[in-house]
Amino acid sequence: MATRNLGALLVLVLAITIREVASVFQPISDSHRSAASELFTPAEGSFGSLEEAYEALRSFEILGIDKPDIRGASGESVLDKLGSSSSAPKDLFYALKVNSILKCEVNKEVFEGIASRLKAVVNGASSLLDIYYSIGSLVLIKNQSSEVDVLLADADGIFRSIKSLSQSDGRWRYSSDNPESSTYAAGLAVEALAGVVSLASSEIDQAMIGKLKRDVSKLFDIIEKYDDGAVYFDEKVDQSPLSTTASVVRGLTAFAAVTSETLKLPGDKILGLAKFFLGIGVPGNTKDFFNQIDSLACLESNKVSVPLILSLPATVLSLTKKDQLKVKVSTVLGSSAPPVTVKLVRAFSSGSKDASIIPSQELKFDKESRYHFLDVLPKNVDVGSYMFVFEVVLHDSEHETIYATGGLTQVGVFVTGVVNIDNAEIAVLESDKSVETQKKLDLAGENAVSLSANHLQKLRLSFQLTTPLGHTFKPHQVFLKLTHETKVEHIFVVGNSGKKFEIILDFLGLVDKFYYLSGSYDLQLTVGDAVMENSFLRAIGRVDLDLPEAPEKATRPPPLAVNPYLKYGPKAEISHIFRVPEKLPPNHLSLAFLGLLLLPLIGFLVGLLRLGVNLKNFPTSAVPATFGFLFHVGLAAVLLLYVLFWLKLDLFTTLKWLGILGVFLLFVGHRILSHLASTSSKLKSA
Amino acid sequence: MVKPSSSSSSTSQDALALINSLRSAYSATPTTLKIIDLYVGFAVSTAIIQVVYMALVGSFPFNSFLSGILSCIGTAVLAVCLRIQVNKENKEFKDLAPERAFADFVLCNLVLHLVIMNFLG
Amino acid sequence: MEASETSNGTTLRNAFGNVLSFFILVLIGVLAFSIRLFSVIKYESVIHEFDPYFNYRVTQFLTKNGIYDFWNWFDDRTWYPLGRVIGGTVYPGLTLTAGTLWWLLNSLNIPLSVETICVFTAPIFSAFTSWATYLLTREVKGSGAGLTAAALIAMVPSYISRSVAGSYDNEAVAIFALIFTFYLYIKTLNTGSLFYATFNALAYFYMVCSWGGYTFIINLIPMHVLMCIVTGRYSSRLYIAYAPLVVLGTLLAALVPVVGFNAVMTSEHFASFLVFIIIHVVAFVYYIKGVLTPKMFKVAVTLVLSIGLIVCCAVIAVLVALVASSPTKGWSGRSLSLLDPTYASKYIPIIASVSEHQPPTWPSYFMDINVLAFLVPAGIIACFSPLSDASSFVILYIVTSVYFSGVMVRLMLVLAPAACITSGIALSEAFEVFTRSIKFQLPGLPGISPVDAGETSSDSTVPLNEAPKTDKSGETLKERPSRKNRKKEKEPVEKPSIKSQIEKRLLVLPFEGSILAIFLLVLLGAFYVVHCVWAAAEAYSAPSIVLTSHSHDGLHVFDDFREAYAWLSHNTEVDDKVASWWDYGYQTTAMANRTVIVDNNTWNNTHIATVGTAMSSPEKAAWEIFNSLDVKYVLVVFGGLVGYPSDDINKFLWMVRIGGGVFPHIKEPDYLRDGQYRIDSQATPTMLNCLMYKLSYYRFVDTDGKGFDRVRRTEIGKKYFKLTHFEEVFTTHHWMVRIYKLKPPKNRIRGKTKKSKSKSSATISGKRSGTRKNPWH
Repeated sequence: MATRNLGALLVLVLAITIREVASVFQPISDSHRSAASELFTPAEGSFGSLEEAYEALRSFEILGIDKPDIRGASGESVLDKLGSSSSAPKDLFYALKVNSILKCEVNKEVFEGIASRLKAVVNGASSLLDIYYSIGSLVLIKNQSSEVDVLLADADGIFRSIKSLSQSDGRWRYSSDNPESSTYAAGLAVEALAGVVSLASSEIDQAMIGKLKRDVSKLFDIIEKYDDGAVYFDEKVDQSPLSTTASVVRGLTAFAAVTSETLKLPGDKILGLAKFFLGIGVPGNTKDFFNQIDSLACLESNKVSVPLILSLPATVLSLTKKDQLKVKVSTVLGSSAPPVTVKLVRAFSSGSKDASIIPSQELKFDKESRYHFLDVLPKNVDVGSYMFVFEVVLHDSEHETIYATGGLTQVGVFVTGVVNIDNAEIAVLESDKSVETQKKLDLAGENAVSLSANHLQKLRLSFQLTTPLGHTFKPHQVFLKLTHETKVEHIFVVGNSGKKFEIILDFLGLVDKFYYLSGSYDLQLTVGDAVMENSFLRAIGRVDLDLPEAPEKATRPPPLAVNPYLKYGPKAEISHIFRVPEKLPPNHLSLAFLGLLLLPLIGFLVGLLRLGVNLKNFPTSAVPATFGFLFHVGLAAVLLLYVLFWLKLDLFTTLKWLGILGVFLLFVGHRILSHLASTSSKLKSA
Repeated sequence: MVKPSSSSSSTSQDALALINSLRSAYSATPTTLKIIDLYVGFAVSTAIIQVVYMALVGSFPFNSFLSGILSCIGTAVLAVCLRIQVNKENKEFKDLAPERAFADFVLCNLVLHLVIMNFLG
Repeated sequence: MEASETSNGTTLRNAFGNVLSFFILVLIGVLAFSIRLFSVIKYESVIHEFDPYFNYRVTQFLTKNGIYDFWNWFDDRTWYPLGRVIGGTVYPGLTLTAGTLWWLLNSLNIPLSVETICVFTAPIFSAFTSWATYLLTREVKGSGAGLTAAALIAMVPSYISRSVAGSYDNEAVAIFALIFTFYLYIKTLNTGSLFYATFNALAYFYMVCSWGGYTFIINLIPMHVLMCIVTGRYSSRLYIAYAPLVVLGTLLAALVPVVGFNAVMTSEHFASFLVFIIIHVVAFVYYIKGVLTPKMFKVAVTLVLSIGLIVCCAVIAVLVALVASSPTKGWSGRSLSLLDPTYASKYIPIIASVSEHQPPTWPSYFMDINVLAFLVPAGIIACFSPLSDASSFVILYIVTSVYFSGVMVRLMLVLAPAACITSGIALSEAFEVFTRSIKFQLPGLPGISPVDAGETSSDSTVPLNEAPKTDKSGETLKERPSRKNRKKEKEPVEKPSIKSQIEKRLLVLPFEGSILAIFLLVLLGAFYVVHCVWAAAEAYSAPSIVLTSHSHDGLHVFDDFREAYAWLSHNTEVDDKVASWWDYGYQTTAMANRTVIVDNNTWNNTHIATVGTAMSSPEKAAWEIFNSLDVKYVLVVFGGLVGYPSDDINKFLWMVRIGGGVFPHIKEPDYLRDGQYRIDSQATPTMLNCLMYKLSYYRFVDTDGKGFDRVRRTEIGKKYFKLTHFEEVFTTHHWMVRIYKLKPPKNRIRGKTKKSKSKSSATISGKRSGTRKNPWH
């Protein structure tokens, strides 16, 4: 538990140290390829939409992965999109884009129909998106089948109409009636304009082009930048910085491709854009991935300036293993750069901006591995984190216009080594600083000292850390942890005075902090640093403390830190206890008793017969006889009702029926009984 | 009070005499009362059988057991009441016609068995 | 001969007397109903104190969801998190009665609200009670005594205290059921017909549905039967009256869910079974005696008796075994505290903590049944001459109820009808004696038949000394003449012999003496009437949720309870849990419709003890307890500002005791400074730091500069303090109810969040400067 925490702390500190230095950008590598092939997985053979299909195909194309066989599904969807006369410009656009990769054969008439429709759209369109998709589609048609006439008759007009959407700060509006201006729209607009220029039947007048160039350069004034040189375009509304930047980059490169003369853009901005895209690493979702890869591809082959990325295969150099300092210069997609020389301008320890520790020198170039390397680090390089400043110089000067190297590049490098620990000792001191017991420690190996102290004594732990070059070394973490038997633990930071690390635990002052818990404490020393190859977290033995009895108002020791995985994990399942069903008697026994219950009844009937039950009281004359009969029927009905009540009826229906029957019984019974009474009284009187 | 404590033989013959006189006295009772007595005996014996069953098996569906026993006892008690009321020798119930007594008996039985059925579960 | 000629004369008087007594009964009913309306007139038509609110809520549920849902209603809004099975733990009689009334009226298109029905149920049933009393007493001592007793019970204060309009509690209907059951028992005993026996059982069933006090019946009647047997008064009518009642009654009682098998399992009922067996043995003996010649019977007695004894011993052994097997010897706590008055205070603090379970004081006797207390002995004597089964029953009833009322205040309610009956008998006897003596000494009417003389004399004497009477007492006075001719039309037919003796005895009374005595008696009655009206108007008609106080500047009305409950119901979530002492549980669920932890149905001692512990713990521990119970709000009642004596601080020691009974770390001595309970500066630190003190006196010092508690009449000990785990959310106008909210648990990483906030602001500023950390690294 605690060790895990410490480990996590180490990692954290490591991360922090890396972040402190300028970060290094790796070009697109195989990690991207594997990520792509698992990100873009067609669901049952085809992608959800043509747009996704295009993104997937395009990414595969750029990364040089053989595209999965989705020709069939996507192809026919492309065809019917193109075939149907009612598909929106957007669908057409992506269909054509997919087609440009899949190269399905589409006959000329279809293209012409589409082209005519799209031209109509373009001439009539007011919203930027329609124009963008239409122009884009036209451009694609132009690229795919040469003989279709896609040239725009009045390119100037369209150009102006699009240009009319531009804002003073270089951003654009989506449509003339929408005041909201957006950088994303700017990217689209520039791309659309590039398309217009390429489609123009006649030459667009240069004034407009010039205006456009000024807009683009204005756009670069509102660029955002990170501290590590990455720059990007941000969007206030609905678009992520990545997609915004990507659209701008697309528009920019497309425009640069069609314009005759180069547009002047600062190379470091282009490099910054490249760094931005690279800095993202491997995005998680397809959209970002596509944007990253696609715009990197645009940057790779743009006409403004191709960024060159200087990257280090390893930024951690171990002194013990005598690692070489290797540097690689490549384009963003990892293809090899033109011949350059890499100079290590200077290197200084990142903590202090003091003088360079390595004389400025050129790195040697290794042909087959295409690495520039510094064969051996100079002797005066000690462990620690350093800033290496490189400069990339192109060999032949006409490359200067094509490539952007970004001048000096600053890379953080860790030089690690074995820090040796000496005269480490642990001692128990009396209150008057006189040493009571003292033990040497070998912090390199295992050691289990066992000390004992009372609350009047002190515990002192001291050791020295020296780098291979003999300087004192200050690691990030030096902790001493005391763990009681009852898992109550206390962590102390070991401070350093001068060249030796020393901590003195005065138990007299710590009794309350120790919750007056006497007994044996396990000692554990942690010394850790990013550049210390022999960082350790080691038990160095135990100390038996006897502390005074806890007074009344002493603070109780805190409850043990419960393991979060237990705390937030699923609770133990509640086992419900149901009442055990009573044991029922065997069936035959019950049946036997049922039969037994019949015996008294039989006896009763027999007795009746023997007594000679007489019905002579039963009235002979008709009316009372019927009443008597009805009376007994009524009784029988009530009993039947009871049986029904027992079997299925509920109380209230029963009571209702009982009421009805009761009235009937009352009437009939009264009649018959009164009749009987009168007869009997007659008998008496007679 | 009297001599049955004197000797066992005297008590035995006393008992015999008692039995005889009891039988003779009982034979004098009218048939209707005998029927009622029979009915009472029937109910009581049924109750006793149920009690024996309970003793053997246990009274798990307690409400059923209770309703069984109490229905028997209740009918027996009501029959005894009826017998008391229709008894000619009984001076207290001169003004109460036996028919009226029977009507009450029927009513009471109906109520009793409604409750029994409700309680039987 | 003269019997015949009196008979036709009596038919006239009979008719006249019946009509008159009928009107008198109607008037008595009106009186009984209207004397209980003071609470509605003086306050408003509102349900009174605690339990009635629960009954009201149950009735609402019944009328809304129907009988079956009510029967298996599991209420999850109380006793959180346990909940309570209402259908199985409540005596449904009252609820069903009110529900039936409501249903009846609505089916007659009389749209009354459920609350109105509930408010007026008690007065209606008190009218029924007076009629039932009339019937009972008539069975015992003739209808004259019956009318007097009815008039007395119509306004006896101890019954009024439980049945004023709005006190919608079980006793309201239970007393009626009690009296009516007794009436039917006596009726069966007198007539010996199964018909009445059946209805007797049904009335007993209604009583069992209504009130836990039905055990009083099922113990009193066997006692009476046993007494009759022992005193050689056994008759077959006794058998008919008792045996069916036991069988049917036991079955019917077992039908009520809350009683269930207890009807045969607990020892409250064993007495009846024992007597049931005994009476059978006795009946058998009598039967044998009937059929045998005396000589043979002498022989038989020995055998039969021996057998009977054996049977009895066996049965007793069985019963003893059963009792011994069952826990607490089969007696529920309340019954035990009846048998042994010190039981509750020793073992069950919850029962002891209820004020109405305390023994009463002598003034309370005078307050509740004032002149009756003096008339009762006379009534007992009257019952002894002559001693009949019925009168012996009355004697037994009065004696036992006197004992029970001596144990618990609330059982004064059982005493009241008995007192009314006996004193009614006494009054009527006295009046009869005196009027008779007057009649026989009236000069100038020598040859007149005693009956007419009695007529005229009574009619002449009564107005003569009833001229100076208030109209209120006119009610009772109006019936006196009638009672007299009821008497006199009865005697000739019933007991002429007794009558003649009476005449001889009466001759010795002097004329003026008897007139004076009548005058005094009437005066006594008048005093009783005045006292009852005063009690009904002043003492017993206050609904304890609205309080009034008269002060120098007029009348003050404190409606804080309803204010607080309304606040809860409007400002808290529907399923918030509110913790308070259990007294206020019913009201909270009924009025505020919020889930409570404990309420007045104190079925779970541990749960109540938990709340008591929380109230008497320091703030943090209390917060943890309440938080573990998922409580959102805590409600305390505090009377210190307006001097409302029955507030939580005064109940606090009970919380400590009940809590300490389960959680031993709460010790009562910690809250007492050398044995006495005080909250001033002398109080113990435990007391001054417990939650109840803090919640009650938080910010109390702000009201007046020095925090003077009007109830305890001291300055509070600790005036200025803060609450760390609770926050005050609402305090009513007169500070009588204070509601606190549990603060959410402390946020452990508050420091961190603050830092991160500062960092984010830094990054914002950094953004303005143009550079930002790359979030991707």
